[in-house]
Amino acid sequence: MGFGETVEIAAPALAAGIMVALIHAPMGIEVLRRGIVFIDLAVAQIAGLCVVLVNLWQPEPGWLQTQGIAASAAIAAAIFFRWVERKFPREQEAIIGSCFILAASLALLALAGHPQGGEEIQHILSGQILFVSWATILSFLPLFATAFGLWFMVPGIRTGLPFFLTFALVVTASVQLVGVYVVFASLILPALAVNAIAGRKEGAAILCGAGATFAGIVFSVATDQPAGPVLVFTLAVAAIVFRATLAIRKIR
Amino acid sequence: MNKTLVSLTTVVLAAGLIAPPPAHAEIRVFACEPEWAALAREIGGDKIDAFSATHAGQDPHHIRAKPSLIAKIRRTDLLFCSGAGLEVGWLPLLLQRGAPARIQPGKPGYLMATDHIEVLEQTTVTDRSFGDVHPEGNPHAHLDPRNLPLLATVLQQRLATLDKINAEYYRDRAANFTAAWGRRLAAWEVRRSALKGMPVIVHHRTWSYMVRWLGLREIASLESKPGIPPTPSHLSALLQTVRTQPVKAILLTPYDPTGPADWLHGKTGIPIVTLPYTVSRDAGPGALARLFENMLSQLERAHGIR
Repeated sequence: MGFGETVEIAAPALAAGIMVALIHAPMGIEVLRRGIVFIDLAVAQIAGLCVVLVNLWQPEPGWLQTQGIAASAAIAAAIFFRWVERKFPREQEAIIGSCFILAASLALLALAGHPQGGEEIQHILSGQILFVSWATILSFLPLFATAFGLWFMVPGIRTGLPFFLTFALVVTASVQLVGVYVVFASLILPALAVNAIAGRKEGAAILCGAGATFAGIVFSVATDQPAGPVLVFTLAVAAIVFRATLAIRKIR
Repeated sequence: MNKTLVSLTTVVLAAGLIAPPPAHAEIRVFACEPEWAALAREIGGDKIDAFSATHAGQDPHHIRAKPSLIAKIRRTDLLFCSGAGLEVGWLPLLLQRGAPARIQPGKPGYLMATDHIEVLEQTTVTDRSFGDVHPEGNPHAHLDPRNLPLLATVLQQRLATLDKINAEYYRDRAANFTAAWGRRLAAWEVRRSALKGMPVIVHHRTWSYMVRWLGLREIASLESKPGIPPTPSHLSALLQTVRTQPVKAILLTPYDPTGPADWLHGKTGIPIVTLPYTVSRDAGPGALARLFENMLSQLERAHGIR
């Protein structure tokens, strides 16, 4: 494999990974601040469940239809979680976690009579970042660009219902690009890495997330390992290194 | 800093990836499963370079995307897979990622084994409540050895189309392989008749081609529906069945989960026989024949013949 070809293979994965990392880093800080780290798993699982349920009625839906169903489910979940936040603020995380388990189990039950819908949900949840094509990236780019722009230009989006809606739509898209493990890792680990910083954390979190994604894709291509698990690993290492560096600086 | 990073990346990538091309191979074969790589080596000899995307212990239904797979598919001249939906979870995605036009469906470089043999368990039923039924039929076609000469012929024709200069070479090798295989089939015929009617339980419908070839009696499958883990009621019905009629073995592939088989073995003492499903990834000449030899010996032992 020549260098040019290597770049060609890695480039779409790198683009998808960086795109996801850019928006996840600031969102992850907000998620961590609110103490609702399982919300991404819950939203992704609910979207996946709805795709399966619709498959029961109509096998092999088109791309647009699948996206429409997933997005509607994500919006419904967002509205529900916002309501939970206001109504049961102290039990919010417990309810979100339970929703994740419930949606996952319902998907398994649907899967029991309906195995090929299971392939669909497994695909949505696992994501194969190396197989992502430029066309797929371009189709999700407007959503990511809008969310990223709004996040920094319209601070109101970080609160209340707008936060839940933006978050749900972004996560539903990024799960399909990079899979649920990388979604969780790229949200929470950069946020953890910079959590001890007193002032503004977004820049540092983006640096951590994007840097780890870059290193992860390079490492995956150089060692020929599946990219998803490698990304989770490099994100974890980056978070530990960041956190340790910050702590050492503080002591001095 | 940026420059250092870029050059560092270059070094890492270059060191890890620039592999020398094979010395004299002309045709690069990408096989989805080891058995097709082995068959390609039998027919293509040193004129081809065959690579298998999966190895013997791996369920070919599911594989993870690795960078080298994308690199391999881009320089492939002949794609050789089972088809019938076996690779549906990953091959279409891989073909989208910059695979050349010469190996896309319909081209001579696109060879699906199940397009060229009599496929078992084809169904027009589209009701998915029947389980993980591929309407295209059962894809595990290499497990009937009578299919291999048929596929050797198709493969030889494809290789001759893609590499006209060596057409003669492929024809000779295919003829030799088919003749030798015919002698083996004749020798196995004797052992086949001894195994005829042997009652077995399978885990998944993986073994249907072998079961038909040997005339085994498939009493039941552990999965209640293909691809779906057994339900409690299915297992208890299975237990009833087994108590009323003798079963000689529970047949598994190396990648099947062993839980249900262990459970049934614990209740009934029926031996579990894990048959090799395929050859090793870099199998050389003769490996396919040894696969069937090994399978037959294991079945004979379970049947109490040897």
